Amino acid sequence: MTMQATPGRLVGQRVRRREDPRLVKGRGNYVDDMKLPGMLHLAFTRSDVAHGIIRSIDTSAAQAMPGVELVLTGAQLAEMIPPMPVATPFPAPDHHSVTPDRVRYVGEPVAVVVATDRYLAADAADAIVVDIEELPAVVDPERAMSGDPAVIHDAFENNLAVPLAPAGTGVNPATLEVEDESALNEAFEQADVVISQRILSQRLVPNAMEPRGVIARFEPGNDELTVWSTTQNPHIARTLLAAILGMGQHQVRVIAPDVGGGFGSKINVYGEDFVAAAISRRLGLPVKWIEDRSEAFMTTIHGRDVLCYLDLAATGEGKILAVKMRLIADIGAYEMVLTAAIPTLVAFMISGVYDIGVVRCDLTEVFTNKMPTDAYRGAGRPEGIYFLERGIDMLAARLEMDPAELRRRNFIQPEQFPYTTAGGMVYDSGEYERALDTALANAGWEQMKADRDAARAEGRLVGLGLSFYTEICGFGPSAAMPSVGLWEHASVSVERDGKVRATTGVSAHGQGHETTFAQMLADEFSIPMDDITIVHGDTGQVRGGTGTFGSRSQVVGGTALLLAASKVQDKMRRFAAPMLELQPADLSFSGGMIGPSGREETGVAFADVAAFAYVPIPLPPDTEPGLSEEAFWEPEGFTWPFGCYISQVEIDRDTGELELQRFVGVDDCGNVVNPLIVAGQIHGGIAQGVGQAMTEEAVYDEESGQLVTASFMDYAIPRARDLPRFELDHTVTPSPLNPLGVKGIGEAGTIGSTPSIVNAAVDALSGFGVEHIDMMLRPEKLWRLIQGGDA
Amino acid sequence: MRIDGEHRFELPRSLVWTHLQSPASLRRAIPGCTDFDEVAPQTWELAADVGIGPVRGTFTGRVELRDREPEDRYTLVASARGRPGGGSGEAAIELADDGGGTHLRYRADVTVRGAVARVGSRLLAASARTMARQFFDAIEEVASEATERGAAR
Repeated sequence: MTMQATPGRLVGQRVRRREDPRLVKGRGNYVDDMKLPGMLHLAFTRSDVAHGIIRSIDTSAAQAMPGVELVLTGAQLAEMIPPMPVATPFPAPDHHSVTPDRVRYVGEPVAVVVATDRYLAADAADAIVVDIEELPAVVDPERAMSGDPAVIHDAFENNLAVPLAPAGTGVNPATLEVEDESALNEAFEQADVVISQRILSQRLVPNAMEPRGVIARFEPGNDELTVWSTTQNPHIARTLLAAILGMGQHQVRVIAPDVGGGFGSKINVYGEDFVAAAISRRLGLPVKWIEDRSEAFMTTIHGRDVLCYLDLAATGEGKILAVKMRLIADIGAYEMVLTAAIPTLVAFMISGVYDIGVVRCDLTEVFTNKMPTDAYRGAGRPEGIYFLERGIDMLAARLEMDPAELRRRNFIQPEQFPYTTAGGMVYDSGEYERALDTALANAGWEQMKADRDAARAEGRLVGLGLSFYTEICGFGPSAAMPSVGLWEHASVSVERDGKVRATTGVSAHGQGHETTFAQMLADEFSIPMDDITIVHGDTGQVRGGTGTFGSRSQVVGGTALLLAASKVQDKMRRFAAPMLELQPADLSFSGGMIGPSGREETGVAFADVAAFAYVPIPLPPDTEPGLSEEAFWEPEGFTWPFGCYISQVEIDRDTGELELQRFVGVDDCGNVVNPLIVAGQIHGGIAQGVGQAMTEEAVYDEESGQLVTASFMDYAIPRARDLPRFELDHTVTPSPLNPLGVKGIGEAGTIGSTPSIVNAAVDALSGFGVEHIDMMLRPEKLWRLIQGGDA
Repeated sequence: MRIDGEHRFELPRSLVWTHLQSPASLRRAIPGCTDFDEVAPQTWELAADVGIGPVRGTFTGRVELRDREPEDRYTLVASARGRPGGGSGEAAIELADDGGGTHLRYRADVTVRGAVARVGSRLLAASARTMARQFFDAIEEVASEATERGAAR
């Protein structure tokens, strides 16, 4: 097997994405582009109150409207579909696709209309009259923990979804009892400095460019269901759809055509998907549902909403002795597939990149009358790194120490890898000081500080912020998610004309698999990329898979693909050997030829070997005809990419407006297959991290529980003019845990950028006694701080 | 949401009071009102076309006047629902002499839901004040017309 990513011809090159011409010219094929004969359309009637008991639903007017084929209430649907699945180990309340009796958040579906046209369906859904007896709503998680004014699920006292999660630190997973705290107490007693701060990582709306959508087509003739979905993971969707509908996995096919972004929000299978499938089966006709933007704000999972009470103990020289986090995760009204698991990832991040002797994390997850949370780009790691990196910067300010120097003093050293944190995480590899030094040099850190001080002397509010992240990627060993499994699958077929068709179980929705995976195979087989097709997103064509999330596609999917390709290469050598009267082990691939290693040009053409494999006269001994192999692969541990981000901001003294003036980043994701795609992932990630820091916040009204930031008028995602040119660089520290030496990069930018910007804003306002500012950094909040008031 | 405001009428307090309580005047003065039927004493069901920012639609609802202390104060209790959502609220209204005219002050507590809350809430207070001004201006106009007619007779 050729188990190395370097120094190939295309791997490592800035190859342009092959999928882009199709996508930017309107030749893509999204779920909403598809029209099937006889297709009906769904629209949902949703609760416009946050909490209440359904007294009655009057569907008579809707049923009488032209084009309406069927109207079903939640109670009727509950007889057709069981409650939705959850893939976490925690107890979860029943969560119906369409609620049968009680509403718990604004936007929760209460009835569905099936009509011949999307607009008729929407009009009819509006004509359904739902009478709801309102109950008090609670949207503040700390208030919810008192059980007053509302208990959202009767079986969950004081709204505690997970009272104390066994998140790896300080809690015995078997007994859920708090373990010995003497080491922790000792560290805090010995400390010269203790930093304590309440920090919120606020609720966010994922806002994929393409909203969710589904087409379900049940074919009564052969009892088969095909579902076209905007999912990130068609195989998980197939498993869950089959289970909920009581069908076999062999009867369900899920296809993810072109998908316009997900950021974690399309991991879930949602109620609308189950309803579409169940109604198609009942009517024997295809049905379609496409989410509108307003629904996307209200009823696609939200992200973050984790509150941290941070305590950090350190010596006067800046050596961190202990970190303690008490976390309260506001998970909204129900648990979706991974809802309760996401905040546990926060706890895994508690040590960051630092060698810390004692860590301790308590996590409580709380129900409130809001949309459930789940994975959103970074999923737990942005929260954890933000809390820690804010604490480190507060410590630097308290000690009047350069924040870069403080971090340097606490880094885990290269020789300590593999490194086991005090919380039990095993880091694969890292060389943090090199990344820090690269970032400081690229930024001109000392000059930046001098310039900042000069600007301050003129009365300008300039601030510098530095952050250093690591994150858990390449999910992972199956033990990390026993309910799903975390392996990946790939197949590689060389057709009789020498063209290659490969499948992968990771399902791209913006990541560029069709390009990076083709680069890899082009190198392995030494044939042009144009001769290679990468197929993903269809359980009918891709035999197995888990999906694209947790920065795992290149790590896990890429390695599976490499293994499948190696098997095909072995077989091609066996076919080529008799053609050349050489031994298989002597043969290599180069320049479109298979021949003796070093003199491949004297061998036979790749395509001729392929042709022979399908008409093998005579068939080589112990060899089956054909060239098609598959591989499953599962990593033994997580990968831990890392990086350093430096921001410079200036705050307008009169208006409080914050301008991000410079952004310098150094990322280390191990070996890089395509630097252009890696840069694209980092750019997008930074933009979303800037969004959390500066402009984005999902706000529910405290009393009524109404989502008041439910459109782009009130929820601001960053625009191009909010972003400076990103000055990016990278170091390369390969992972030892996969043959490609890759680590994953999809979420890094989101994780590192947010603390860097907030640290810069706090630095800018340090002259006003400001030690911390909760996001987002809206001008009004900063202006009040400048005026000496509270934020 | 709390919405407070005031209005000055160039008319005597007794006249303002009379028209604020008169179904015929209310029907004319409520912005966008298309239906207005008495269903109980001091209680009406009505329909109105209303726009709050980008959210527009026909709302049906109920208005009740309570705690009436003639010419001094009363409470207006209202609820409405329509395709873009709905809402309910209570307004405490007080009248006082102001030179030759009348000074009116209102303090309302309003809750909204649906698209009105999702999209319109940022604009709700401004829209409500605009509608209140339209309403009071219309009451003044109706009252003035009635007075002129009375004088002409």
